[in-house]
Amino acid sequence: MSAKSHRVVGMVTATLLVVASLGPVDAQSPVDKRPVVVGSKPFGESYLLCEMFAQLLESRGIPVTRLPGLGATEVAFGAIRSGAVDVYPEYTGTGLVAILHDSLPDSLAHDARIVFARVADLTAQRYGARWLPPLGFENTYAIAVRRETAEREHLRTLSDLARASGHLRGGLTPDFIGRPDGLAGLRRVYGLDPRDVRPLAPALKYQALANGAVDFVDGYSTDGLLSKYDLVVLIDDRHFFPPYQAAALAGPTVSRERPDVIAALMLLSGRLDETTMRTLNRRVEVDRENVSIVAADELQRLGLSARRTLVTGPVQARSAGFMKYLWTERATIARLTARHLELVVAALLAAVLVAVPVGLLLERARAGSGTILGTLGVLETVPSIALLAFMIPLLGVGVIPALVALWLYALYPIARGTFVGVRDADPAAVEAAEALGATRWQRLYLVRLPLAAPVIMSGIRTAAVITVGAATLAAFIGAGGLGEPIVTGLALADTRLVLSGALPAAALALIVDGALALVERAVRPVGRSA
Amino acid sequence: MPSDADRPVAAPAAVEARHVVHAYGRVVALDDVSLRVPGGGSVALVGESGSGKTTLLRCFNRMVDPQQGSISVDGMDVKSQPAEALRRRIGYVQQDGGLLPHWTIQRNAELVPRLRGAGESAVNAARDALDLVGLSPAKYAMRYPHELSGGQRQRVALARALAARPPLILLDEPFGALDAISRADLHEAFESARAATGVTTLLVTHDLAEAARLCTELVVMRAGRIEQQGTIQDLHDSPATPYVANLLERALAGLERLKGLSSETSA
Repeated sequence: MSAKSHRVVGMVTATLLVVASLGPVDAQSPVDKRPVVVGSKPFGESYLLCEMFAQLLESRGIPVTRLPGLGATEVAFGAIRSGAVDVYPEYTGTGLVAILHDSLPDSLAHDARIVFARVADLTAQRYGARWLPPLGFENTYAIAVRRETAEREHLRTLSDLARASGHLRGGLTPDFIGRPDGLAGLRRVYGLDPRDVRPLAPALKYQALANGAVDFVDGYSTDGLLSKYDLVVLIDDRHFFPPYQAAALAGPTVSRERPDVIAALMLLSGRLDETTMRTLNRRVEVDRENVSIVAADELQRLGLSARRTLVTGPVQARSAGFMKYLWTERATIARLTARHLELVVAALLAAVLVAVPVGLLLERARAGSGTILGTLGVLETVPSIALLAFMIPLLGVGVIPALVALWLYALYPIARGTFVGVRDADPAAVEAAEALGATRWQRLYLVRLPLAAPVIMSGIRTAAVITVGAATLAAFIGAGGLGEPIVTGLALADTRLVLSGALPAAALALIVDGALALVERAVRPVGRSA
Repeated sequence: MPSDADRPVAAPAAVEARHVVHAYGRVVALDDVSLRVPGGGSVALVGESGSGKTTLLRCFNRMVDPQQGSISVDGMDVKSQPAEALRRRIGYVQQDGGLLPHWTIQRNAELVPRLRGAGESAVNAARDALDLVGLSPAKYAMRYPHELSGGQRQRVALARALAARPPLILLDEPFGALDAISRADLHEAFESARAATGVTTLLVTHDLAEAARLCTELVVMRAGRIEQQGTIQDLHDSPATPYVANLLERALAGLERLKGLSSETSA
């Protein structure tokens, strides 16, 4: 038992030393031209286009940082606005409706060229960001049903679906549920009224549809999985969905200052048609080929890159066992774990520095302490992903907003532990110390803090475990950590990739909890060992 | 902070309360109370719960600052110095001891000398005080409060209150929570410690027999006022009020019953 404990302490110490030796979290590259940050949204096609942009730039000698898997439209575009991301693949229809909150008269809304011109103009005016000429394919929303459902219910169009929707269940991506050109529009235009709507991760919805958990899903017309599961795409008979031409969307700085980047990216304009894209998506999503290999192959085919880039993404050798996979990826996992710990340790230390004094002040003031602790407690109930998304307009994407969000989460348990621990510290002992001439400060550090230490420590321990968990979501705003393979894995429907992040994260939570339990026991006053 | 721990043991302090009034909200705890105890005197404050005896006791070390009237210790108004400085010169024992649970017995007993800046001489002061209350330092110094019985813990509390050799000690029902045997043991320990130090003593108790045994004078309090001050003989021979007479009568009735019991068994 005790030998085991020592080992755990040793492991944690070693890990902390590794973290300490890694230095600052966001070291700036010394190259005079800072790397171009290429982002993506969290689904397969976006990853693939991101990788193609990145390799194309690298083949022109331009250094690149990849930041794929950014939350959804608000997160990715928020990153463009704040300058945290320089370019990512976006779709004109999404730009029109979800970014610009604009619409065109029905007569013009279906002309792809007019939509592109409108979106490009408005985006440049409002945000200084630039839409490069479209890549050459459209990827519109596709509402898909199982063939068997289509035959039974005689479904061919979205109007047919609306008619039958009273007894059908929808499995829709959260993005689609929230967007005006998503579920809300379908309700308005077609009178769609499903029996039930479940929010599903993009990577899971086809599986849920195939095994009958839901009856229809939103997909993209170029999705590789549409053909795999023998699904029927319903016709948008009222032309509800605007054209969704894919294009590179470049941020203000890169548009202004990096003509070399813009010129390189424009080489892809008009080169990718829908058939090509569906094939590429199928290779990634169905055949589970490595994203970077698929991207490199295509760039080579287009004559845009002679060199096959080094494989950095997930290795997709399906035959290898999971443990073997973990072993091959150990360097990556160690790096992600270190980053994860950096986030947790930094957020936690900052939280201790603030929350302990806050807890002490609240205990001293008493009046109003309930309100303030209550407010901190409400923060605790905000879903992590919402809190992270909330940080973007304030702090952009990356490590800083993630740290602030994690820090906010850690405040409450620590402040509360301090407050309660100090308040409830042996009242008779505290009174005796006072009556014998100990000053307020002496009562605090001689009596109340030592007696409160285990309660404070257990608050810190709770905060630490919460932070380890919440930090996995930090990947959605590009802060890295063990959430990175989870987000990517979810986007690419790659369970193994998901587990390669989730298992180390779970282990980390257990180790942190165990280590802090030991600390908690160590700070327990001797006289209170009972 | 200048060290005053090495000064010669202070002479027992005379204490005085003059026309003291104090209320908690609308509840009057002390209603024009005056009391004088000469240096080396020992006075018990007796009365029911809510009679104001504890409030009066706590006025002397400024755990309560009365709203009206004045309190003096050793001829000096208690408000003429910071509360902490005053308290470090006055011993205090409460009902539940209030030992610091995370400190050894030794360290607990060193508390007041250390607060007074005594440095290493606190070690000996604490050991002497433990000896004084009948706890062998060799056996108990390194233990923790939870390893001691209730009676032993109260002895430590007494030692802690006496370690800095204060001229005055305040005791708030220090024996109240103990069983009869521990209580009798502790009475003896207290009497010998008091005899050795000659410290002025104020004891709050609701037990008339205990008051009569440990103190030379009794102050009977009721509803924030002093009913009578005098020796137990004075109280018995010439009770000032029916309340005092009744109190004595009942205490004696209890004793009679016990006496009858012992004569029956011996007969």
